[in-house]
Amino acid sequence: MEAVTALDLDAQLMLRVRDGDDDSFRVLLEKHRNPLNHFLQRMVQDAGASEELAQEVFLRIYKSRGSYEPQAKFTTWMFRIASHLALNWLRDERHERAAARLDAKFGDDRGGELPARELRDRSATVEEGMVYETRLQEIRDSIASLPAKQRAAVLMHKYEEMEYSQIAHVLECSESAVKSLLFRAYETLRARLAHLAMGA
Amino acid sequence: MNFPAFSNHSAKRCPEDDVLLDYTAGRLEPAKAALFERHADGCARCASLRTMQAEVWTSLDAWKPEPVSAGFNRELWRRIDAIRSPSWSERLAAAVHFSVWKRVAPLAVAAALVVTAFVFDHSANQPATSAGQTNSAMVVTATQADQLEQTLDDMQLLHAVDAEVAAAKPAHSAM
Repeated sequence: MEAVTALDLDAQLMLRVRDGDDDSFRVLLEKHRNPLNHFLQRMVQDAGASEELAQEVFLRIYKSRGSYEPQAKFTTWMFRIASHLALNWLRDERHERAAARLDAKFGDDRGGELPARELRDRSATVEEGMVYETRLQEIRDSIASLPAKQRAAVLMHKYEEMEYSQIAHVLECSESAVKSLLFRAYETLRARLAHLAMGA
Repeated sequence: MNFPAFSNHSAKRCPEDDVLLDYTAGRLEPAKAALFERHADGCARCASLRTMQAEVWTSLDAWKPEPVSAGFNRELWRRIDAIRSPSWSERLAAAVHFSVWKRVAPLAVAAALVVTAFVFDHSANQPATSAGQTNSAMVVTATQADQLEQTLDDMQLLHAVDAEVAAAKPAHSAM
């Protein structure tokens, strides 16, 4: 069990939500909506599904407000729910197939959106945009190639800047297991992304 | 954190894997980071890992996710409102939810047993009561017959006594 000596602000807000204060829930929603959604987006690599999952996370948090006890950091609890949902989603073969289809569609329909936006932002050339698109797709593919638990560990370590202990609590494993997951994941990424660095 | 390699800068005793990850993530304490750098400068393996891990780290920075859609909050609150005001069918389902039944089931079973026993007992007693009434009627009749017989005996005795008294009176008056 993660030690919570002093209640973090989020836990205090959640306790107020437990007492019927919806405004505190609004504060939590505003604060964690983007990080949570970005984590889920990178996990499942499907913008629509990730929003659906993010909504489900917040809904579950709201539903269980009555029995909330601050035994761990609020974000640990939130990411644990999110990881469970994302891992289940990924485990589902139908979703895997749907994601593959959407990815293909994404590559055709939306693949140009980001580079186009980046092009405007950077005033870059079309060629640079295409290079960026290819590079981004390689990164997405590399992350997608990781086993689901390694993927979750890397995303929490890299983008959410979580400590090993917190990742361990989220994934319900030991700290040494998390370090092992991370090292194997980064080893794979180093091998897959090495050519990007050499070409950069 | 373990730094077995840093005391002698030997490539044979490289630091733990997490030191490399923490170094690249910028989460290593400055003193430990300096030790790692000194080690990596003299260790081809760690120098290579340091470079490649830094490149992976930078590559991952390029992945910017999509912004959350504008209707996210509205949709979430719609779903929350649906939870807060459940439909009549949901309320009914909640009312007959198994967990509720689980709690009252023993009480309900006990009550049913009591009612069943009462009804059974009541219906079984109905003919028995009339038979009992018949028996008691017969008993009363027998008692009354005994009493009547006793009364008749008493009256007969009284008549006999009266007759004896009447016979004794003339003899008395003659004396």
